[in-house]
Amino acid sequence: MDAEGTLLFGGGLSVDEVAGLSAGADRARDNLENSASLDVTGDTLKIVNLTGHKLISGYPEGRRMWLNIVWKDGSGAMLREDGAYGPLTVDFDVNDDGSVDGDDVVNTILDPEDPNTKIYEVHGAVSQEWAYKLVNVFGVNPALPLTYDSVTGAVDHTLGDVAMQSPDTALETFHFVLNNTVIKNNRIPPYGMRYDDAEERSILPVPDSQYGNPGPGGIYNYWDEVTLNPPAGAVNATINLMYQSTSWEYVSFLYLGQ
Amino acid sequence: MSFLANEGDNLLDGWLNAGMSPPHVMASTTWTSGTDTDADGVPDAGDNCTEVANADQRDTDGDGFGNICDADFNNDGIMYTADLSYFRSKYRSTDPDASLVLDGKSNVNAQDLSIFRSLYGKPPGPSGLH
Repeated sequence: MDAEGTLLFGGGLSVDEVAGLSAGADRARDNLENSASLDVTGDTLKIVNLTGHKLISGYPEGRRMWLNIVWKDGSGAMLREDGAYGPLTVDFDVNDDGSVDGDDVVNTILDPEDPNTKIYEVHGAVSQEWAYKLVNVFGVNPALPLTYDSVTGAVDHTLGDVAMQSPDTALETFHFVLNNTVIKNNRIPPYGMRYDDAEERSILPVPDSQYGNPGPGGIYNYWDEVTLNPPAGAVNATINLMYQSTSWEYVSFLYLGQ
Repeated sequence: MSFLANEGDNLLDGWLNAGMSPPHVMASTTWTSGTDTDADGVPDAGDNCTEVANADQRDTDGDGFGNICDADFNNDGIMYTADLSYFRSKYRSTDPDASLVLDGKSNVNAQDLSIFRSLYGKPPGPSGLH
């Protein structure tokens, strides 16, 4: 730990070991920058998965990939930014100055629910039936929080709330231990991913209408086609495919859930 | 509530204080509006006069219609008698209302009159901004 009590990695490593870690980080970035291609035809953006796994890979710990699109008019003025990532003031003492104020700022996707914001991710969820069983059969505390407001930190939903929902519904939550279903999985399949294999490994796209939905015996598309939505007066746009391994939403959930 | 005070060397503190994991650009491309009817280099979607070339996009009254296709000086939606009267009052003026300089040159002259005639009785535009 440093003088301020913050845990630091790499203490006691040799120069060569530190250089090796640094080289590994460079290779990871290089892999990341060669994992997808983008191609625009008219108002359609094609994103091709160049990896041997789903894009993005891995556990759903806030890992996400999204499109950041900056639309401009003929004078170069910005008309709209889709998938904007930037500062968000929160009701947490994130700067650790002993007070919660306007200086407590984190960075995240500012409007993830905006219809023009396209995010690729996998989200687990707790179904109503499972929540009901956890509470009434296994005796789990119904007050157990499942979601928090990522700005205020207030509890949004508890396990008991989900147990009382309508049948055949589910609530998205980072509480992986309790998750029993996937509510969203729009990660782009790799080349040649067979439906039958995906079903066997419980990695089918959710909803199932995505990526050609080939059905039993079929093979998924290894690309996605996004219909762009230019604002009126847009002359050009810069499109970036973004990646983040851990989101503010997940980190705040871990903290609040202790 | 203090993360550091409460959590000591909790790894979360490191994430929070480091701003989590910053996003990384995986790939980039550009989009441009496709059609440019008048071939003036300004795609129709952002062109304030889509059927007449006006690369300078001159729009003196700022109504979203380029001067080259906007003789609707009173902005009533059509280029008609009131606009003609105003145009006449300023014709060959050395200090004209700049919006009357339809061709973008020095003063209101015969070239502007020719343009005005071609526009008479029509709405301004068309413009990709409307």
